[in-house]
Amino acid sequence: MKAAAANRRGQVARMINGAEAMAIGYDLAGVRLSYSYPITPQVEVMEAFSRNTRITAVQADSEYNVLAGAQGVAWAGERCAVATSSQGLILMSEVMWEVAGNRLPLVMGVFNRALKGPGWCLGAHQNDTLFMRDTGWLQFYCETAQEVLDLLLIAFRVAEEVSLPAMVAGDGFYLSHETEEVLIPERREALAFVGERVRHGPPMTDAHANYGGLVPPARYFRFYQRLHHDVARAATVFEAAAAEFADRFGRRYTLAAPTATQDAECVVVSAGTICGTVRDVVERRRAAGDRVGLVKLHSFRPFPGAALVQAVGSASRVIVLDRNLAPGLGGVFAAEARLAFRRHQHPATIYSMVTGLGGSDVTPETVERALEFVARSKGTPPETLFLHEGGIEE
Amino acid sequence: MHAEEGSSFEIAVHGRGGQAAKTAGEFLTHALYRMGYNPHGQPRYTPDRMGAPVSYAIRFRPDRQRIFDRSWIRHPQIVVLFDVSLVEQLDLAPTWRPGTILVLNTKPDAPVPLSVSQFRIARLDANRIARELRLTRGCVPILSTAMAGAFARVCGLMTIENMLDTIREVSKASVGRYLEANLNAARRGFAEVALPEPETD
Repeated sequence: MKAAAANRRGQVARMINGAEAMAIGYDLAGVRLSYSYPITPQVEVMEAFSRNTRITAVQADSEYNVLAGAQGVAWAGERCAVATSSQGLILMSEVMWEVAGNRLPLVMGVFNRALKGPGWCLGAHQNDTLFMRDTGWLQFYCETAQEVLDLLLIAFRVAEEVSLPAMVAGDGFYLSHETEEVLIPERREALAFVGERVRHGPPMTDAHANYGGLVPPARYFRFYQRLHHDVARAATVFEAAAAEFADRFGRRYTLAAPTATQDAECVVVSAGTICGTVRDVVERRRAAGDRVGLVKLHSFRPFPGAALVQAVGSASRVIVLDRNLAPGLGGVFAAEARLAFRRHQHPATIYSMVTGLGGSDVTPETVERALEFVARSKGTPPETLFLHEGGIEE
Repeated sequence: MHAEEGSSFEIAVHGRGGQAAKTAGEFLTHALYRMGYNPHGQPRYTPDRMGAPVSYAIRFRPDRQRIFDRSWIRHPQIVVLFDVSLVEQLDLAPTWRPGTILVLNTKPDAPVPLSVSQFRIARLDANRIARELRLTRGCVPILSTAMAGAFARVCGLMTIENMLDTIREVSKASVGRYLEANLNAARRGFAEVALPEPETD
């Protein structure tokens, strides 16, 4: 079995964690420079960079300067590796807008970690990346270490084609630290897939160019109108790149990936590692004759609303499991899903369940509890439910 | 090994920072992978280090299929326990099933605490092995390889050669510098572990 896997199109199977998969992804994309500043759980990525002699690892004096430095590399037309988590990412906030505003196709790896609210908490929690919702960065989410590597390569393609930066996010610890089998593409094949970095008139090369100065309101308005359309257009670009990726490497990615949704009455929607646990439950429930399914969201920006609604099919109940919280609103993915279902006139009842905050474990029993709750529930559900090991609460 | 077809097999490793429990977990994960299983290895630790509880969990399917569930394991069939005092500190025993096997680092004549006496215990004096082979940091014995050797014997899924090859392959930094001593510790762990009584039900 292992031999067959190893022979697949020159890919080599290795037991590594998601942090190593991320570092390998950057290496395979031809990146020769990394800017970073250590933070748990991203620090495993830095360690992997430091062991890689092809990559020059620069430690900046803060995450703010990590991104400022990486922005310079991108301006110069080179690829650069950036990885962070949690507080590190929000310290980059100001520069995040600038990178997207300058249409620089940086690709950043993020291992999601809870932000410091009442105190430190190191567990997986997606509010660090979701905090960047309106910056113009694309956001892709991973379930496995394999997906960290693969989506990183795809992200380079998409980012450079639409001239926008992209984040590839995975749940901290669950992905950054867990050891699992990953198929590593052959270097030449990976480079051929990612392609040459196309430089669009870097500074000091075009006449009459002005960077970082004052932008008149009307032009600023136009600029963001265009950026909006390019984020949306990234969905089509992603699907095309993912199709080519499947041809080369045999793994097919879609923005909203369905499992057992055909004829499903109830579909669970989530993003990140929770999807693995849900898949286990769905398989068991299906074997017992229950009509349940799963849709895994690989992308938050662009939000694949149409693909999600289509993947859910004719299910009448949809549970969105969010490992994040917009206080006062509820689960962030659920809020976007609600808009998509209304826009595409899908009548399913949506149950928004916030779960796994701060890295609390989401077990198969937790998922079973959600399914049972929904099966028994009648009428309009509360806008947001909190799902944890002890039960379900408003 | 007892696990229903299609269900997962779970292993827990519990130690204290400095005893190399995480390294042991990596050895076990890679050793199972070498045997054709497709395991997930989950390290867990807190920001504290020396002396703080460190855990590592492994989940795989006996039918060698991929595993998807990523939640923390709850009902280990085998527990590799570097320090028996962790059982009470972490209140571990309630999650274990009656047939759970403990690979326990303890002196041969030390009494077994009541909290674990109901489980099937495989004893190994790993501290002594580590001290005799000079695998210590300060006064703390480093137990990863001795315990990995004992696990290889107790789990019944692999030969000692498979574990030795794994240690050679995945050893980094300090384990690699003391490779021969570590391989000997694994051999002794395999040879000296006292197997539990067979299940009688």
